[in-house]
Amino acid sequence: MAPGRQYLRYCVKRSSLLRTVDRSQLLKGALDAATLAVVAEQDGYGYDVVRRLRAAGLTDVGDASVYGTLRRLYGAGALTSYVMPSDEGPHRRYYGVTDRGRAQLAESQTIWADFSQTLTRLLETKAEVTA
Amino acid sequence: MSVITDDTPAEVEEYLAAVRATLSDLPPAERDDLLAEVESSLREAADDTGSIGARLGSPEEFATELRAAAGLHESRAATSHATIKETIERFVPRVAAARRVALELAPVWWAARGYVVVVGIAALAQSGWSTRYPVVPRFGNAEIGAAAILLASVASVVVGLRMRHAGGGSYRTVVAANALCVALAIPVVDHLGNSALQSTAYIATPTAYVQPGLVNNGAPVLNIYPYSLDGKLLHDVLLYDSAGKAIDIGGNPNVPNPDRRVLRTTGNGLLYNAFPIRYYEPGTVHVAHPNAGPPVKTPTALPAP
Repeated sequence: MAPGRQYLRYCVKRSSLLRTVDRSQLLKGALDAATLAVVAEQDGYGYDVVRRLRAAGLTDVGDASVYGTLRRLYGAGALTSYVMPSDEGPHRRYYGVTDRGRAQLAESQTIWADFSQTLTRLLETKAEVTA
Repeated sequence: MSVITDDTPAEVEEYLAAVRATLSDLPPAERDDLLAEVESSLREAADDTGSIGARLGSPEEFATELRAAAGLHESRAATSHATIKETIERFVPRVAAARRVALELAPVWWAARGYVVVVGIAALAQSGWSTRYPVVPRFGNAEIGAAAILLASVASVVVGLRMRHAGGGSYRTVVAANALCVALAIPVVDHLGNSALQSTAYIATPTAYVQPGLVNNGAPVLNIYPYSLDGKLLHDVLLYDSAGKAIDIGGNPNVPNPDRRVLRTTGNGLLYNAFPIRYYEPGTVHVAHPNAGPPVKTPTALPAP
């Protein structure tokens, strides 16, 4: 059954590769949406956004990922930024959502709603089958 | 720009320095801006959790994650010739901008090209130049030269526009033709440089310099001593040239020399052509040596034929 095993190995390799790519893409897209949602709720600075994301349940999110995401969204014009003095240390760079950011957030909400509905349905079906 | 304040905890300071080192390939302004934000956040994180190392992982991991999330390009270690590429990328927008400006200004060159071709040919053929306007060559006369320049410039602009709209034709031909025009510009610039000099230069003519007074074979004549054949010095001899004009030496009625003895006419005119010229003793009207003259030994002459 050498050809069969070879095919199996190919499938495993492919799926793990896809999983890696999809996961990073998915997380990246999800983090964009989550960050936009948090900032849309209220303007915030880097660490503030990290804290609020964690408080919302994304406990594993990395600080650097959030700073980088803020930076990238700002560079893309989805966020605006301004500097505010802070009593505790250096000035803080606050971020707010632009119109473009709001449009991106609305689009993300639609995509996520579709995706999560589909996945929920699929997983429920599977659960029924295994049960 | 240093973003680290004096009261920054040492741990944060070290961590930031390590992150900064890992991001050394980023443009300084971008890196400083990024790190300024990270620093304020790290300070708060340190206050919240005590140790930032345990929470954030190694500075290298942090920098990699930051870079990936921010969508910044890979570090120099990952792409060996990133510096060369970066340099080119940094300059390409400027090259492109310069190209746009050059394209906009191209019609100026097209018109100049027409002038250069006509004037270049004139310079090489040495057909001469307009005396009033040295920038205009003469082909028979200056008017034809001016017309040729106008015609060539218009033709050059038309060619330029056609090439632009037709998509440029052969790139090599265009480059070669323009290079030829630039080469022709060399004698043109040479000529224009020379003509600019000429317009301020003195034109030497035989009458430009007039030696004042009388000259005897190039040597100035300060006085004339007429002698009679028998060797006697004559006084107050009036001399005239072939045109009947009085021969004066140094006589200027506007700037009279008070010591010079000048004969006056009945009409109060001044006779500057009376020789020998005599001078008074300073402050007087007395000539000390009226018979003084150069040591002359008059020859013994044969009786006149």
